[in-house]
Amino acid sequence: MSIRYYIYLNQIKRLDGLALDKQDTNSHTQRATVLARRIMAGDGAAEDEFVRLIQGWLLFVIRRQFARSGHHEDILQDVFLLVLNKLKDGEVKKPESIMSFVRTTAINIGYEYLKKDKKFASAVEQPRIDFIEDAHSGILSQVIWEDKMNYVQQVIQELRTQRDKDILMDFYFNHISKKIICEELALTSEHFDRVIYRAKQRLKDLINEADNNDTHNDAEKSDRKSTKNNVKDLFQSMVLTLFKWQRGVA
Amino acid sequence: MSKLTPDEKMLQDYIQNKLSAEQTETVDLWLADHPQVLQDMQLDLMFAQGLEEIQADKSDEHNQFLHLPGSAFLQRVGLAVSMAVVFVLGGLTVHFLEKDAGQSMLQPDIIMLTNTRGVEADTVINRSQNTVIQIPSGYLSDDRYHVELLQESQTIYQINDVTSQDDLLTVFVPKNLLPVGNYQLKVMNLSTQESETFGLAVH
Repeated sequence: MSIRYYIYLNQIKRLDGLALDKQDTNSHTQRATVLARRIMAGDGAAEDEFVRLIQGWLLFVIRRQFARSGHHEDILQDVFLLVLNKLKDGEVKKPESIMSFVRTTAINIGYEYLKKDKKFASAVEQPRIDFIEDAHSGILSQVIWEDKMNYVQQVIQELRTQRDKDILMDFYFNHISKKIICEELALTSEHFDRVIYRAKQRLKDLINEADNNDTHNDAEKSDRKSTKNNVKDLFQSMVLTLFKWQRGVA
Repeated sequence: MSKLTPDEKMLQDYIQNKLSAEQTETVDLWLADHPQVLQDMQLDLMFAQGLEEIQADKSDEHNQFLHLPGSAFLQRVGLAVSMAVVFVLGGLTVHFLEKDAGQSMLQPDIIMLTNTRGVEADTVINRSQNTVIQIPSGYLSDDRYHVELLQESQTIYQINDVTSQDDLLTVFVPKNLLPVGNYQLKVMNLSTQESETFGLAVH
């Protein structure tokens, strides 16, 4: 199958996602609303399900909004503690707007971290929520996320032409629109898509490779990965391995 | 479920931080229901933030090589000057200069205004305190903004050409500047012409 066809399928998948938006009868938002109502009714089991359902999405939102913060998981913790407490205390008046409420809470707490550069709600002793790094959630682990510079650098170095490097720099770093990049570099829209698609595919491969190595050989990983890895990272990867082993994945 | 459906252009603008706060919220909420697109967008985000780190890293190395004797002092002076410029640009300058900010300037009230689609009551400002209002702008956005303070639809103060610092627009309201009452703070992005209005109640 040609790469062009892959790109075509990828675009179709995205467009399908756009078109199916209104037909989706079992969306995360609807499931989160049901779970929020169950938590409000005192169903403790719904709390874990609620956290598991939206933690990946919420972590993405936090990472995007607060790129320079090193407190992404702390913000996540504080958001869930606050939201779950409000649900249990019946303080959420519109459970159908729970996703919007969670997002706004995350942004407010994130800015508190920015202002104070310290923990917001977790400043007092509170129970911690066990986030589960599910291999099938599709959300990148913190270990990989913190090492993103090295992965991106490797992809850039592997690009064959300077023009491809320029396309990535212009789009992702200089924030130039696709239309203008295509005009200035005399590219077709398909060519632009192909470069971006290949770069993302390579990044994905590198991440999967690292993830597999994490799972099968922690010691090897700690030698190969960046010097930024520390004891905490190693511990996290061990927890991930243990979790996968329990699920019969490792 | 979010009401609007983003198109491809909007998703590109989302990655490039070119959307308004409200549009960003729309895309955020839409992504919650589209996990496959969310996974793909993670890679986009990784490129955007990874390249940012690479460039920052290069810049740091470059600065080390260009380090000159006394440049640390010059940097501090430069920082102080730029902070003053930001402060003047971001503050209601004339009235700040005319009035005595007093000792409480040392610890002004800091208020963060975020977009909550008007579901919350007006933000309360204590008129006897200096107040710093901060409004989140897009990540690394270099857009320029026009800020207006209105009362009963009449503009009473305005600041042209405000830029964000650390992804925040900062507006300084000196104590005793505003009489007790209700006001609206209108922030318009001069690039996109989109605006947001926040309610303020001065007590």
